[in-house]
Amino acid sequence: MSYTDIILLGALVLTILIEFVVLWIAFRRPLRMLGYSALINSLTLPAAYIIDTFLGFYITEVIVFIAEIFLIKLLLQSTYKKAIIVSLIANLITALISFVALMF
Amino acid sequence: MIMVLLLLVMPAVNADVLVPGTKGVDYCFRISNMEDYPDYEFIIFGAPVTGVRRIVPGECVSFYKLSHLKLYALEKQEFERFSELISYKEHNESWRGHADYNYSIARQYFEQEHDGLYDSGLELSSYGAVAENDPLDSVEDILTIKSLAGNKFEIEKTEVVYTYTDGKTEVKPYINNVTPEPSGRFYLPFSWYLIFIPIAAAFIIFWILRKRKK
Repeated sequence: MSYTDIILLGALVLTILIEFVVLWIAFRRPLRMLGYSALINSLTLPAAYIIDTFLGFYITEVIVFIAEIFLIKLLLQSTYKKAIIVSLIANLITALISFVALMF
Repeated sequence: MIMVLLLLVMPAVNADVLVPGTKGVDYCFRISNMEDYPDYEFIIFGAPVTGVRRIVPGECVSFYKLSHLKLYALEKQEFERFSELISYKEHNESWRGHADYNYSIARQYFEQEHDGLYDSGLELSSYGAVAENDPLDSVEDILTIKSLAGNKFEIEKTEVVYTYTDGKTEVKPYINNVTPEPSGRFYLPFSWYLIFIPIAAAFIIFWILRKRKK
């Protein structure tokens, strides 16, 4: 397993946990939210990694943000408004934590 | 999105050490028409490490990866004077690229103007590092002398040869001095077996949604 693989898996676990907290606050039912967070991020994070090499960071972020809106809407059977808010908050928090981690 | 961001801002090279997850790409440059200028010697000069080196016709010149170099042409007679001035002494062929000389005198020499010394104005540096899964293996720049007369030394990067890990090569022309990007270099940024993660996730999501519809 290469260093990049370890980074990918580490970031995946961390992102799943962070987005789980956001989903839990928004929708309750912790166990189910942990599963949904794992499913959503296991799909979007590796895909984003590949897309990023072609389209760059910002476009990739927008694509992931939009993709997660639909995934949250479908899986959690929420309204679009709530899905947009949850996706926005989840992605903003993970981005913010990345910036803070890099500062130290 | 943590990982994407981390890799975006992670520097490719930190001092002399490659960042884990990246690899160095071999770089060299070749002057395609040096033989057309037999009355001149061509010299690279730069730091760190590289110092002064005389280019041999046909040679693909590689150098220390962190060096920033300048390329000069010297008339043969001026080269003799320069060699004496800095006590330049090349080692034999097996030591190609290694020579004894006085670095500080050489640096002073290139800071001044001299008859028979021509500054190309071209600065050279290595290609740097890429992701460890990137199939790009080596890069060779082809330089072509456009003119060398009357205190004017014009040389341009005209082509770049990209070599990939499977042995395939690709030649691309420089347009307006802009380095063309290597093409056909799709690669998974992680090991292929990890692709099962998004595929499995997609199947499970699809299965959940289908089950709900029933």
